[in-house]
Amino acid sequence: MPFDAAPAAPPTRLDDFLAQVERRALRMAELALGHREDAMDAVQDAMIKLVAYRDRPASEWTPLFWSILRSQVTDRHRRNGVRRRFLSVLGRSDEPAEDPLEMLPDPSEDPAQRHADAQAWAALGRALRGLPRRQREAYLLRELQGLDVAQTAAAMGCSEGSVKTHLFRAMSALRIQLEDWR
Amino acid sequence: MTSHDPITPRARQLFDAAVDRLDAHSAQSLRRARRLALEAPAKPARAPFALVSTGAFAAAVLALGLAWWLPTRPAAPTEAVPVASALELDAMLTAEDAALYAWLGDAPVATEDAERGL
Repeated sequence: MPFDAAPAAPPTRLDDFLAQVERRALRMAELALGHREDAMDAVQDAMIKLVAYRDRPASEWTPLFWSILRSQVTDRHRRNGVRRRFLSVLGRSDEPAEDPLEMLPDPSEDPAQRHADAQAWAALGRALRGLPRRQREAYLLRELQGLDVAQTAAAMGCSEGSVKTHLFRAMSALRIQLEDWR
Repeated sequence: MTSHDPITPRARQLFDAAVDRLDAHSAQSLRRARRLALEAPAKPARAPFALVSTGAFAAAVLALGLAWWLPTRPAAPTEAVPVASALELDAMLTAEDAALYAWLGDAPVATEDAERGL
């Protein structure tokens, strides 16, 4: 069954487009970076950069935005790697103290289920961050964000064949990493 | 492949739930970020040198246009040599001509013999 999270008719106003993708963008950046504030900064910078392309056809906004956000995440990933190595030398860690999902207010939900979801979410994040960058990008854009293969290829700046290869390897790695889910 | 794999459906379900449950503070931060991005100038500010060159070009075009459009003024008359009268001028020219013809009359005639030194 094909997965299609994107709407059939894309918005024609940039405001509507950003409103539609901003939450998914934040969660995707958060999964990739493992840090809420960094993810928020990446999304904000991606929005600002996309506005410079507001004269482009609306059909181009989707791959453009995800391409810009992917670039922002990559930059921060590299920066965080340097910071993490620096902090490890000092014997400190910059990992977030608690998972963001645990901070969500939803009293109607079963606490046990909520805890299980939080654990699964954290495990998914760890597994994704353990993937090679291109595999992680392909999985996030294609499988979680719901872009089609052509849009994923445009956002990643590679061929559709490369997307499929990265995706196959990512899923193979995740099956091993998240074996408990099977 | 994905249809038989429980990993990806579970990952999507978690992802969609995380999107739906985004806390109010983060949602507000996103709205603020969007508003700031949309209120930003549509195009990046132009470099100062570009403004200067554009102004200089406009001034040059304006100056050329004015120079072409404005009627040409008659050239200022050169300072006239005071001449007392036409008779004096004729007399002056005649004296110069007489000196010239006198000099020509004294000069050797250029013939073939003269060129051979005979």
